[in-house]
Amino acid sequence: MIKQINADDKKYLENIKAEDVVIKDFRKLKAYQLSLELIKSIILIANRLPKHETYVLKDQILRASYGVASQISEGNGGLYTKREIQFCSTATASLCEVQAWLDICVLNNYITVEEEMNLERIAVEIKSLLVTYVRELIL
Amino acid sequence: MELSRNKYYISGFKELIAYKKAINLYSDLQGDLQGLGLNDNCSIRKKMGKVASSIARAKGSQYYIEQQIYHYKQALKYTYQVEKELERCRVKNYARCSEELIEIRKLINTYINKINKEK
Repeated sequence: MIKQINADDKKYLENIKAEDVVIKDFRKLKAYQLSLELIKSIILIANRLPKHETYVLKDQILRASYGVASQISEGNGGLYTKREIQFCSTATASLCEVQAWLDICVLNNYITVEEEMNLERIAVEIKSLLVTYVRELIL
Repeated sequence: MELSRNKYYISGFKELIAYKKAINLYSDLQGDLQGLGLNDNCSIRKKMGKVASSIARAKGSQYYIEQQIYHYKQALKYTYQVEKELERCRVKNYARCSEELIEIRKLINTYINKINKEK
């Protein structure tokens, strides 16, 4: 059944200004932008990996890095604070996983220590931003 | 899920002894797995990597106790799988690797018990 909009409803809808409606844009989040930067660097590393690592290292490190960006965006798009915190927590966990796989890449001499340090710096920056988001959400 | 408050910091997982042991075992296994076929080699290395990454994930999910325990349990699962695969493939240093895996398991259980006590 189609709901009839009466005159009062119409007036109310017309009065809603565009600026009153807040749509959260995850693309503006610094953590999201940094996570994209991290993905770019990891794709470059993943393409350099030997063929026998396709379903071992490459697959896992790419999944984990994609997870960071997707969790941040999914969390930011939600309406509930607790869910947002949960997604931030999962994003932090995915970041830790990326760091662990990077350690394994260094062990296998697929990347240099300098490259790892560079990615580590980005990961720590994202983590600290996520912690800040969570703190703001809890307080 | 229970939200653990007052945790506004970045937790480091690299200091965890279980993680260090998992990474060391991964590098030690590299040599032992050379003689195996590609499938077995990749499977064992992937699972060993997952032990380390699950420990890292557990430490990373600092806001939810349940998530932490879940990832630690995942790490435990992978240690058993690695042990089984090593036994099946009759790897040279199986006894030593098995001991290391048992130690990792003990450490992970300690972490889980610690979390449960702090609840």
